[in-house]
Amino acid sequence: MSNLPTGPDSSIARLVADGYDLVLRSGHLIIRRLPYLAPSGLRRDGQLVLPVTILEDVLTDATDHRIWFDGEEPRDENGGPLATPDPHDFGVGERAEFMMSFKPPSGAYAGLHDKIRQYAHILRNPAWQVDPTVADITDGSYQVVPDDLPLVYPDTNTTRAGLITLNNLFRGHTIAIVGVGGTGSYILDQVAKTWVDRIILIDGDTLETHNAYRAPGAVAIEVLAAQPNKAEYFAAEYGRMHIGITAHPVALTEENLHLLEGATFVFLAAADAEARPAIMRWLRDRGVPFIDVGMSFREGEHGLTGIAKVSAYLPGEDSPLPTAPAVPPGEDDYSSNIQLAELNALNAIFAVIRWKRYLGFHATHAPSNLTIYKLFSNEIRNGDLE
Amino acid sequence: MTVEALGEKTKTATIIVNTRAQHWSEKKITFEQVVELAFPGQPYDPAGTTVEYSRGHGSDHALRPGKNVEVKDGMVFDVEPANRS
Repeated sequence: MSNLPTGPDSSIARLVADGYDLVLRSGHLIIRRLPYLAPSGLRRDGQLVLPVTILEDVLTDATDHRIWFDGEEPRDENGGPLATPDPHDFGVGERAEFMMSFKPPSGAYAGLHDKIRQYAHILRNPAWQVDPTVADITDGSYQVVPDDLPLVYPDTNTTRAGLITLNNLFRGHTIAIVGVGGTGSYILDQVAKTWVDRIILIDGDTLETHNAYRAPGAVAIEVLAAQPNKAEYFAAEYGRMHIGITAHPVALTEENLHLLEGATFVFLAAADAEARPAIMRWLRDRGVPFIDVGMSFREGEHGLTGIAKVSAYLPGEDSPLPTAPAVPPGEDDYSSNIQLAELNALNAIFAVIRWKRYLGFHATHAPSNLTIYKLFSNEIRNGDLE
Repeated sequence: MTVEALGEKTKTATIIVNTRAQHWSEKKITFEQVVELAFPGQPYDPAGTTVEYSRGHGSDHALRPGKNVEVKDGMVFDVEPANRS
C-alpha cells in the first residue's frame, strides 16, 4: 500500500473549514456534494475531481487551471454549458465525463483552496437561481482512502494521465524475470513501475562492474565492491518503489522450476541458459505466457551491427519451441559478446511493449509474436515464429 | 557451361551481409550460403542462428535453415545468434 498523507495540509484544512466534503483517493482529490444546474433545469449534486501530486503530507495540484466534473453536464444561468466533454478516469470504473476550464484574471489560481472554491462557486451560482434552498455547506470533512497498490508512494503519474482503468489490467499479476542482466534489468525497470502485484527475480550471478554499464541507474562503487547477487541487488533497488519484489539468488534450472510457480507472465532474459528449452516447455505445459529476449551485436564496417529479437509465446499459439540452448555455453563460435545499455534497453522495451499489448494496455494492429530490430538498417520487423 | 548458365553468371549482384558488401552471381541464395558469407568456415547451430533480409523482392523476412531467397542487388542480410540478454 502506498504511503498516504496522515493529516490534511493547510489548503485542505481551509477547505474543510469552509465546509467542503473532501476525499483523497486514487491520486485524486474529490470534492463531493456540490450543487450545480443540470441540463433538465433542476439542481443536482455533483463532484469536482482533481488529480493531485502527493509528497509526504503535502498535496499539490497536478494540473493547470483545469478541473474535472463528475455529474451531468453542468449549465450556467442561461442554460449554456460550463464544461466540455473530456473524460478522466479517477478510480476503478470511475470516470468524470466533463472538464472545466476557467482561468482566473490573474492567469493562475493562488492554490488548491482558491481553485476549488472558485469552481464550486461557478457550479453553485446557477443552481442557486433555480433552487433558493441551496445553502452554503457547513459540515466539512476530509477522508483519505488508502489504495491497495503494491507501491511505496502514490502513482500520481497514472492519475495525472487518467489511466486508472487501463492500469488495473496489471493488478493480480505476478511477473517473473529470469535473468536480470543487461536486458532483464531494463525489463524490471519498466515492470516495477506498473501495478503488478508481485515481481519474481531469478539470477545466480554477481553484479560486476561491466553490469553497471548496462543497467538502469548508477551503481555505487561500494556496492560493486560488496559483490551482491544481481537479483538481490535489483530487488533492493526497486524495492524503493515497488513492494512486491522477491529475489532468488540462483540460476533457474530444471531442478528449481518451482520458483516460477504463481507467475502469470514470464520474461526469459538469461543469456546462454542451458535450461531455456526446458523452462519454455514447463511454461507452455502450464499455459503461462512468456517472452524470450535475445540479441547479438558485433563490429561491422564503420561501426556495430546486429539484431535484437523479442519472441512472444502466448497460450493458444503452438509456435515451435527451441529444442536446444541457443548456443551451448562456452561454444559461442561467433565469440563476440557485445552488449550495450541502449541496445539492451531497446530490446527490454520491445519486450515490455509486447507484454502490455498482450494485456490489452496497448492497442495493436499487428499481433505478431516476433519483433526484430536491425541496427544496420534501423528497421523494426514484425514477424511470426516459424 | 550452357548459354543459359553463362547468362545467369554474368548478372552479379552486390549484397550486404553484416554490413560487408559481397558479390553474388546466382539468382538465389540459401540460408547456409548467407551464414557462410557472414562467418566463413565457422561451425554454427542453424536453429540458433537468425538470418534476416531487407530490401529484397517483396517484404522483409527471415530466412530459415534449408530455405533460399531470390537475390536483388543491394539486398541486406543480418546474421546473428541473437542469444544475448
